[in-house]
This record gives sequence, structure tokens and C-alpha cells, in this order.
Amino acid sequence: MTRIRAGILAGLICLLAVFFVSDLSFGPLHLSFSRIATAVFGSVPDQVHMAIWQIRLPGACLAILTGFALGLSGSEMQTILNNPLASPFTLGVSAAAAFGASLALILGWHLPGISSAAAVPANAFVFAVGSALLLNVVSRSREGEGVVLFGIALVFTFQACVALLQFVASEDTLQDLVFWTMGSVTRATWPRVICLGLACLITGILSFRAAPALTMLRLGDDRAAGLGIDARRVRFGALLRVSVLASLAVAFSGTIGFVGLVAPHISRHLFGEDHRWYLPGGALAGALIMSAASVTAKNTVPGQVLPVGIVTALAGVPFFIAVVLRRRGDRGE
Amino acid sequence: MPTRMLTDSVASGQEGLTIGPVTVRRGRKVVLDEVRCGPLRPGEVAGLLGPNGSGKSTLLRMVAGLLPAAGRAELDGLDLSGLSAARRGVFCAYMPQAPLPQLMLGVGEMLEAAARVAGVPAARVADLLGRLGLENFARRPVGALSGGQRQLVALALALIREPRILLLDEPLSALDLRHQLRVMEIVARETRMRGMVTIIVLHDLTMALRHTDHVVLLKGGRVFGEGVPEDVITRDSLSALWGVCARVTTDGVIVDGLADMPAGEESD
Repeated sequence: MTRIRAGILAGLICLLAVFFVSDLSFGPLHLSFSRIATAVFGSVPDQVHMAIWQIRLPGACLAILTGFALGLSGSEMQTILNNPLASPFTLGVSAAAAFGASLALILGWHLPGISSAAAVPANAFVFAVGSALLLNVVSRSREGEGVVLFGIALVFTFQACVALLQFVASEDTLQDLVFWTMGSVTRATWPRVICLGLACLITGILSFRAAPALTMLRLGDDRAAGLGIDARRVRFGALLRVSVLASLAVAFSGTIGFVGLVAPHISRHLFGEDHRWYLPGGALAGALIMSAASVTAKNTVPGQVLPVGIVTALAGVPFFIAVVLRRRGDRGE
Repeated sequence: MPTRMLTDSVASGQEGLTIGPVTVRRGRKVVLDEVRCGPLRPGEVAGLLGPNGSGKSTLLRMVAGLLPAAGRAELDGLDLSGLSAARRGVFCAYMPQAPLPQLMLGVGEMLEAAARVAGVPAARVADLLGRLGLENFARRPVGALSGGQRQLVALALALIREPRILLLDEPLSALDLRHQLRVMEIVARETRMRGMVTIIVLHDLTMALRHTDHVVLLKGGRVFGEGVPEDVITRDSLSALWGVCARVTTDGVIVDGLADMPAGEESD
């Protein structure tokens, strides 16, 4: 069993490498693999070298890391809320983070003691944590659908708030904001990549350490508690990790939908519910989807790079409907 | 448990599990009213019996620590109610009434995760599966097992920590006869072998009569009777608690029909 799963995981990593290289090669100027290799490892500072190092490499890395963050946070959310429709996007965590980030982008509002450079991710984080905690409170008192409905209410509320900010924004800022709300990795910079990379590494390690307790949580709160697990603490830790990942992903890449919803389902299908496999699987599936979406975004309209959020949304909607319909089917409705 | 505390409490004659006083209110309704029972001795299986709504599950959940501040439960003189979830998990294992969910999770993986959380060696999983006759299930997903097999796996999950108190909420409901007997045999064997205090909520009176060492009867949130099964499960208690005419024989309980219940008690 372990060998098969390790094989699948290795396969996914290889596939990710293929998408990563394709992501580097596609763009306004198509580059061959050997040309990329010379540009990356060579020391000749020509135009291609610059394009690769300043634009394509950070973009491809940000796509993978954003996907990793969304996949991992979606996987944890589906476990702690015990709901296959949970993800940062569907339950309003991303929308809340987007509103927080918009506050910084449009009104220049930031928390006391936070520099204006860090205001966007910091605001996004504060609002993401707030919405995640609200979801936690609601999930304790209401089962399944109640949480999803509350999450949808959060999505609409924060989207309306972002729209309000767009309404009062100046023309220049508006263009920025609209592009950003569509979700895009084309404005990647190395500091952003490093920041998200570190966040993924730290939360990834913490998630993996919490994996056995999260596996137990899948058996129901009572059973987990009956085995000496403090379900509230496990859930709270997971929500903090989700908030960090979702807010940074939103702050750096905009709102990107459905990756956090789809990746956990792929992982569950491939690896089952043992969270030592399911969580890395979800993160990897997310990274793979984002990398593939980034490649697709560059190849759909000739000469143009679509915002990657549009690609993931269009590809994700049919999947979302399939999950809803399957759930109904399970209950015999 | 520290050795000194254990010897002190044994010397003072408090060995076993003593419950109470326990009072639980839900809104205006008193679910458990000053309930006291025990001491329940190590190595003995105690049956918790009573009609629906008499507070059996609530009492079990209280001992498991799921209802903080509802009352006291002392094991060998040590008050469990003040312990954190993790610490209480060292002493207590609770198996809820709801069946294990149908997950794509291997039986072995699930037990290993439980062992890891509890900080017990993973080697215990294979041993436990062997003792419960579940060796062939280790690689099978929980979701692919029958109801009876899943209940045996749930029992293994509760036993992984080798708890001193085992709390089982209606483990026999929805099981066929063979699985009912298998579960009871395993519970009795493990209880004696490990010197556990086991409390099991049951509806089958014959099963209680034959397979338990001690019985606590609950009615309307109060203890109606407690003692050895033969003394407590009687014609009169059956009539008073369940409103049935029944004969208690050496072979078991034979129910002849419904008896009249005092007015107003049907809703309990």
C-alpha cells in the first residue's frame, strides 16, 4: 500500500516538473528547453536570461506555491468542517482576505505597527482569520449544510464589500484591483515567492505533525474526544494554518477559485483518508492544478496571458456541480 | 497513575470507579439527577440499563469527559473530572453509539494513527488485531466492512490505548446475533485480562444477565437499582422500568407482554 502511494506521489511530482518546465517555456516568446536551461544556469545576462529570472521563474514558482497553499488549506478545511464542499474559496475565507487586501490597496488602511509594504498580506490575514473563526463557531452549532450556507453568505458579503471599494476607487487603482480579483500569477516577485514558500514549508510541517489527530477527527468529534483528542485545539490549529495559507495566496495571487475544493477530492481518491498521505497529496494536487492552469492561461488566447483565476474557475465549476450531485445521490435524494 | 497514589487509594478501600454525584440539565429538563453509582471493580463488566431517555448515554458521556462540570467520577480515588482531554484519554476510552463512518481509510492505518496520537507503540496494532481476530482486516478500508465488522474495529480503536476504563454506548445495536456474542466475549475477556472497569449500555436484558458482573438501572435520570444482575433484573424492576410483564429464568428474560404503566410515564 505504502509503495503504491509513494509511486503515485512520485508520479505527481514528475508531472509537476513537466508542467513547471512548460510554464517556463510558454509565454509571449516561446523558448525551447535547452534555451531555458542555458538562461537559468548560464551566466550570460541577455534578454532571455532576464525574462526567465525576473518574470517566468517567479511566476511559475508562485503558481505552484499558490496551488500548494490552496490545496493544503482546502484539504484541512474539508476535514475539520467535515464537509466535502469546504474550501477557502467556497466558504468565504478567500473573499474575506480579498476584502482585507482591498482595504490596503484602495484606502491605504493598515494595522498599527505594520509597514505599508506588508499591509496587503497582513490585512488579508486578519480578515481570513476572522472569517475562519466565524465558520468554526457556526460549524459547532450547525451540521453540514448550515456551514456551507453561512460560508456562501460570507462570500457574497465580502464580494459586495470589495465591489463597494471598487466603486470608490480611482481609475488607476481600479484596473489593478480588477486584475487582481481575477487571480493572476503574472505579477510575481521573488520576495513574494520566498514569503509564500516559507509559509508553505512551515504550515506543511505543522499540518503533517497534526495528521494523525486530523485522521482521528474524521471518525467524528465524540469518538476522537473519547480517545483523548482535544478536537477544539486540533481544529483551531488547522484554522490558523488555513488562514495563513489562504490569506497569503490571496494577497500575492488574487482570488483563485476551486483549486482548494478540487485538490482534496483528487487526493482522497488517490490516497484515501490517512492524512499522512491525504494532506501532502492535496497540496501536491493543488500545485499541479495551478501549474497546469498557468500553462493553459498562456495558450488559450494567442499572444495573451489570461488571468489564471478565470481558467481554474471555468475548469472547476463542472467539478463543483459533480460533487454536489454526488452528495445528493449518496443520500438517495 | 503514580504508584504511590494507587497504593494509597487501594489501602483506603476506594479501588475501582465511583461515579457521582452527577447532575445534568438540558434547558429546564433534568437529564441526570444526583446520580451516584459504584464502586465498579476492575476486571468487571458493568451493564448500564434503562428505558430510552433514562440518561444512560448522558452518564456514559459524563464519565468520558464529554460533559465537563457535570459531576465527579473517581478512579481509585483520583478525580477524573478535572483532567484535560489528553490526560483523561490515558485512563478512559469511549466508544459512541454512532457506527464508524464509511471512510476510505485502512483499518490498520486508522489504528496506527490512533496509536500515534496516543503515543503508544505502533506494534500494538498488530497484536490487538490478532487478539480480536481481525488480522485479515488490516489492509481493508473501513468503508468496505460490514456493520458488524466495523463495530469490532471500533472496539479495537477504543482498546488501542489499553485504557483502565472502557465505556461502550450500545455497542450491540444493529448487530446480528453472532457479532453481538463476539463483541460481548471480547469485552469480557479484555476486561478481565487488562483489569479494566467496563461500562456497557445495553438493551438486551438476557445479554446483561449472562454477560455482565454488575448492573446499574436508570429511570428518569435517577438510579433505580444497582447490584449483581440476578438481584437487580427482576420481574418487578422490568415492570417498573419498561412496563412489561416478564419472567426472569436461569435461561434469560422472557417477555410475556405489556404491563400497565403509571400515568405520565409513557413519555419517558
